[in-house]
Amino acid sequence: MKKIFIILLIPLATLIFLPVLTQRTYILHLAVMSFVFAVISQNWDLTMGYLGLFNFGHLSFFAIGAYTSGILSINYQVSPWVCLFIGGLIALVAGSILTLPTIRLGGRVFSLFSFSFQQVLFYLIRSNPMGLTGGSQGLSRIPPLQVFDYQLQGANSIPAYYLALGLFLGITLILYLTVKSPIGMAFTAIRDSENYAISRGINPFKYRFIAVVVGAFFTGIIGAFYAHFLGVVGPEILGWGNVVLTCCMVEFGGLGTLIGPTAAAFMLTILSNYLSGLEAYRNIIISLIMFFVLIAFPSGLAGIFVPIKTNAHKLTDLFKARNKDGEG
Amino acid sequence: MESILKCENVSKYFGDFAAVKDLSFHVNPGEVFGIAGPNGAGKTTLFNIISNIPFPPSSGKIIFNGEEIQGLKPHKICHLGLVRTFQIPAIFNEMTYLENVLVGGIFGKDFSFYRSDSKLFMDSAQEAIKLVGLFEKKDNYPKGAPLFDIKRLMIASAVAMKPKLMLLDEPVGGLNSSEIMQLVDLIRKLQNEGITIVIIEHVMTCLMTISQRVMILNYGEKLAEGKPEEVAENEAVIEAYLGKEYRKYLRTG
Repeated sequence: MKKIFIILLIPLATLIFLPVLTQRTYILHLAVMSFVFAVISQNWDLTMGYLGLFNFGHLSFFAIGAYTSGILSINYQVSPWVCLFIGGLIALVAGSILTLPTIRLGGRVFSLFSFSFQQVLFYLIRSNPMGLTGGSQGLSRIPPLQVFDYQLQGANSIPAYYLALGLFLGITLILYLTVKSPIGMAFTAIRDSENYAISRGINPFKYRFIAVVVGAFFTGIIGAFYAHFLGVVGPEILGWGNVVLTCCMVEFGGLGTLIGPTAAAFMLTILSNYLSGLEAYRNIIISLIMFFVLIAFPSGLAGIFVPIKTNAHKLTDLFKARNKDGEG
Repeated sequence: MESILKCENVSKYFGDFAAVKDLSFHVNPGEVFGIAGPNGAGKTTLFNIISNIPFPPSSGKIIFNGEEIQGLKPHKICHLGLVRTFQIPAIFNEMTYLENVLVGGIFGKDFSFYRSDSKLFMDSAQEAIKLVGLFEKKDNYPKGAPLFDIKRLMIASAVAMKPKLMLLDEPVGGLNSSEIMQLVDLIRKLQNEGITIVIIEHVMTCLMTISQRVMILNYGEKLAEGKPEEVAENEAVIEAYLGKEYRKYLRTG
């Protein structure tokens, strides 16, 4: 366990000194985008990986954070720093609206509801209600976050880079401590065997709610940061391509590991940007890479670092159970 | 003496079918209360409706420690000190043996982040895992573990919850005779620690030796109740469940 922290020091140091090592904005931009997607996929992993709850609407929290923050700072001149927090808060509220009525009805209902929630949100944003969201054009000229006279917008702003890095590291640390705490233990227990978990005094609804809401809050904050960092935000962040790519980061990285989705977020963000010149071939190449990595390491990228004790056997168990049912 | 668990006219219907029908019985504090009966008699269903995992009774009253619990949420029932194990081995596959027990220690009483004491949890978990004799294996993962280990782990995590009453669903079913002996010893130890035990078991020699009182169920109804030797002599019980061979075996053995 100690070893893995030492190994992690190298990429960490690289990230801290990246603006010194290179002045190329393109690379810094990619790094910031990687931080953003790493945070999204970590928080998605909280529900999908740790709880086994198929939440297909996770990116809607990201969009809600981005749009809330954008709309408030453009139309109502709210300070972007306050917007960052409000963005997270509104996403948290959205998370509870999504969770409270459905969580008792079982995982399937929740999955379907989260999926349709996202679709509704997508069309709602596109329809430009009350002229707030800018329709398919999206929002532009979102004011930047400011520290004294520094404007934290665009990758040529070094403070913006460090803010992104700080958010990324801070949220990673909080999530890590959460999953190592008794709360994380309850998550794993519920995923492994729900009735047994209940019989040991765990209220599954409470912990599912916690996971969704915590994930929504951090995703909302990073969404707000994204809006202020780029200065523009459009409905395509809820587009199918983006949803699938982000979902892949979680699955490809390794469910229920945090580090896996983080690594996959970096890898896929960078890959899909560098390959963007190849247009349609880009997706084929990314799919093939994922395909072969998953054959070699069935539990995802995390399987390379951590001995496979987690999800590798899930699928085989499922098939075994099915065969047994068939025989019986 | 006030009984610790009391069921009054409890029924469970699945459509028209009564899995448990108008059943009343009580359990005295500190005793081992055995439940037996043919397959499909409603024994496990009875545990399910008492613990409300996964369903409550259709009608009737369940009184635990002077409090009606039939409307309570299952985890609340656990927090009151009524815990159960499962007939089908249940285990958290992705936690070590010790962590499996720790879950019981942490969440057995209403867990709150603010007044949690990790040392206390760890102590109770270690104590429980020692009690069942699995301390040497505490860092193993239970995937592919022997049935005997899983059954004992289930009991250990129940013990870590510091229960007043434990419902054991076939704790020795599927074990060999030396393992059965060890589990009988373990159940006696639990009883000595002041835990009241309700046990479902098909292995009659085991049930008859450890229980102070026995209840036989058939088609969801009570067929007989009383001291083990009385029940074993009961004609209706021999007819429906034990068989004539058993009486001979009991007399000679």
